Amino acid sequence: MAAKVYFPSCCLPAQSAVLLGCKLGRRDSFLVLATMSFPFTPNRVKSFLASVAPRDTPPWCDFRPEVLGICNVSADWRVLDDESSLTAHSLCKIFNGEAWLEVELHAGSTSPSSCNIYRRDTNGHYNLRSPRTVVFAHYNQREAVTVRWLAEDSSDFTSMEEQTADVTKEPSEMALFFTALSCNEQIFLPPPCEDDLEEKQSTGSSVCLRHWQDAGPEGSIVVELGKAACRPIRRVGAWFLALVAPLFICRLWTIAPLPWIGDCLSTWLQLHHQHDRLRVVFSPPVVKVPPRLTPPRCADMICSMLLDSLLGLLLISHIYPHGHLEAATDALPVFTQAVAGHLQELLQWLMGAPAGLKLNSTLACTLGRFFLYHIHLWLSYVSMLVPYVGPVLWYGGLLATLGVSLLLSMLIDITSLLTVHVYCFYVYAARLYRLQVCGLSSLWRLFRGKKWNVLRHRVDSCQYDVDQLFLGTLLFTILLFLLPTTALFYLVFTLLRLMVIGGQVVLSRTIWLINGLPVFSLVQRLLCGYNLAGGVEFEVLTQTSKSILNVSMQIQPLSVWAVLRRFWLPSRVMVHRSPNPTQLVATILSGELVQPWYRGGSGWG
Amino acid sequence: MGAVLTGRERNYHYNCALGSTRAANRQLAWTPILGSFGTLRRGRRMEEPGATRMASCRGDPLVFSERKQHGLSIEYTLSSPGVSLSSLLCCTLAVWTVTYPVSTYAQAPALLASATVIVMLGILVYLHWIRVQHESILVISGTGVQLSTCFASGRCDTHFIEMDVVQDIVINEGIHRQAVIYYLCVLVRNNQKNGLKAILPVFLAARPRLDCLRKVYRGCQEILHTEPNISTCVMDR
Repeated sequence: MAAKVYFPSCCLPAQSAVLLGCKLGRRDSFLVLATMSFPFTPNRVKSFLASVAPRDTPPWCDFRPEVLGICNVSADWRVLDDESSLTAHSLCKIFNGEAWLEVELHAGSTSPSSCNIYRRDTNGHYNLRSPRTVVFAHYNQREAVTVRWLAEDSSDFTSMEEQTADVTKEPSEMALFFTALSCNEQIFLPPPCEDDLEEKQSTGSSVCLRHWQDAGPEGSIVVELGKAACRPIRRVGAWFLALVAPLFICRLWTIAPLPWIGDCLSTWLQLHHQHDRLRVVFSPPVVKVPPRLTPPRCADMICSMLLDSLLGLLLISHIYPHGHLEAATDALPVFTQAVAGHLQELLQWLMGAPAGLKLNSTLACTLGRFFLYHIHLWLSYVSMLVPYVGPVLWYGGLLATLGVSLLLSMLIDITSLLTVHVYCFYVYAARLYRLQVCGLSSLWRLFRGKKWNVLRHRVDSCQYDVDQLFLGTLLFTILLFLLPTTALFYLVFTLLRLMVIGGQVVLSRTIWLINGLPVFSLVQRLLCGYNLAGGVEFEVLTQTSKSILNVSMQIQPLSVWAVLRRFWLPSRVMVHRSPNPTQLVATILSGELVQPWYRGGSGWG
Repeated sequence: MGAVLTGRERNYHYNCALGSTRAANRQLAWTPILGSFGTLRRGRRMEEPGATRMASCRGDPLVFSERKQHGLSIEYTLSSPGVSLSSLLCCTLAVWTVTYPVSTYAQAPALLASATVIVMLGILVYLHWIRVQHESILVISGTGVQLSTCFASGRCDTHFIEMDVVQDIVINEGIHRQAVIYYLCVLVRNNQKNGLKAILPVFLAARPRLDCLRKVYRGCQEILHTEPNISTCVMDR
């Protein structure tokens, strides 16, 4: 296997220099962080390296910077003279690293003419590494340092720590590369301010390094004010939450029917969700890992909540002053009357000869009357509800300041309350239909001389007497001839129910979208894509020597889909998997109840 | 080897010095029309030294080229002939000749406008996401395998697989519609658990024949599995 040297393309020295960097894991890979030009004193260099050594290195790897080797720059095509190779020899003895790199460059060229790697053996001698082939990868230091590594197969920093608890498995090399760079960030930081300079002078400011220089955080008064305001805001928020918290963790909610009711009400779930988020946002930050390595969950949460509230405020400013709410409340009784009228017409039509079908008129009449009575019941129920809908909408609408998602979930609840009759119709019809289908299937078995063995869960053959067979066949015929009537009622009410569920699914999808959209990450990806790295790509450059392959390594930004998949915020309420169409049809045909598919689970649908 | 630089290599060299190849490509990808005209012209003079003409399993012409670097890396590229401008023009003209009389007869100029917009969008989608211009596999010793697909608009999709997870590169036999075809694929190992994580097919759009695949297979295996010859020398003299 060829050894690898990652070399920053901005650091190609004009004169001979020493390479600073670190080794990546147990592989033969070397990451060059900076070059240091002559002259220097070894003690200064050592103290400088000790001062910039990363403090919180991950336990599975040592990324402390060390002197990796030397880069000789020759002015012409001449072979290096003895004197400089002698210097190299003495240098490797002084710094005494595990390995020693010797890169030779021609002035003005970007690719090395030779690159030798020596390894220290047990006696302290440096031997040339056996396959002399080297892959020399040029990388853009600015991009590589400012980027966050989020490749598909690389998990988060913390989980990586856990998974490498067994030492045999190392994380992938690219993960090591980016972790090493972010651990050694201190090298790239701008030189300290004037006050610290005196202190620094004693340690090693005389070391002359060549690398990409971070311009440092921008001095902006807004940022400073924001930083200063951050803590008081967090404290006020935490205090406020402490006031509200008893409402959510009250023991009253554990009494028997209440948890079940709470789970059914999407408004309650959404309120819970908002509360959880606020708690996460206002809780004190846990600083465990370098911030560049943790996904910006908090920022995403804050942004999505702000967006939610903004949409809610827009909606309020549109609805309240123009009196849309009052108009809607006034229109509700008229609307329900119209719906009831249509339903009654539909039932009358079903009781006659719908679409020319000749149904069992007695059964159709009975069923029709039964459902007509239900419509009557529903009308009185709605007329009881209507006076309360207006105030509930008016005051509940104010909740939209907390987020438009809350308003939408309230809308879902109101729809399911107002369409109780559709649900009832559907359940009655489905139960009736299911009863008939089950009876038909078991009588069909009797017809064939078989029966269902409950103990063994299989169909056994069975001897029936003549009476049993006669009665069974008679019942089978009756059920079969009554089936079309029931099936028609069932079909119509299933369609009504599916329409209501479809509307609710659209609403809950919207809520899921508002809750989950990682606005901050998305904007970050769209505005400065190279901040999130999804992968690398290599390009083969010219070959200057037989044993060296020059490649340039570029960072690929994470694709927008990958950003969405990775940063999608979990949602408490409305996650729904659209049902499998064949499964849905099978459920409907067998007469089982179609469950509303907008509850339970979390994450990216 | 190093002394003779072809035009393309010199271009690479220049880009390395600036470090801006990708950025330029990305800009190109955002202007698909301009990019597509670029490749249209490039399609004509696709012939490079070392390129050979091949045929895909459907009988379409392909240009096969190889870039080899002394047992350290190997890159195989399969290019299909570029999109011809005349076929695009014919397509648009055909749609216009059909919709123009219809819209004049129905007195709905919006119909013509929407047809135009739909055709333009369709061409954009076709050039940007569907029509594949080049496909290549690059194997770098000890580093990894890179699969890239370049579309007619100049957009390139690149997927790099590190050597730790590359189990092997093999030729597989598969059934596609009513034919048995051969395809090259990269086996990706699952590092956490033992076993395969994915099988990534290469040259999915070009679908070359077995003779071409054999060449690519041998070249890749050479890089993947041979150790360079060993020579030792000691620094301390």
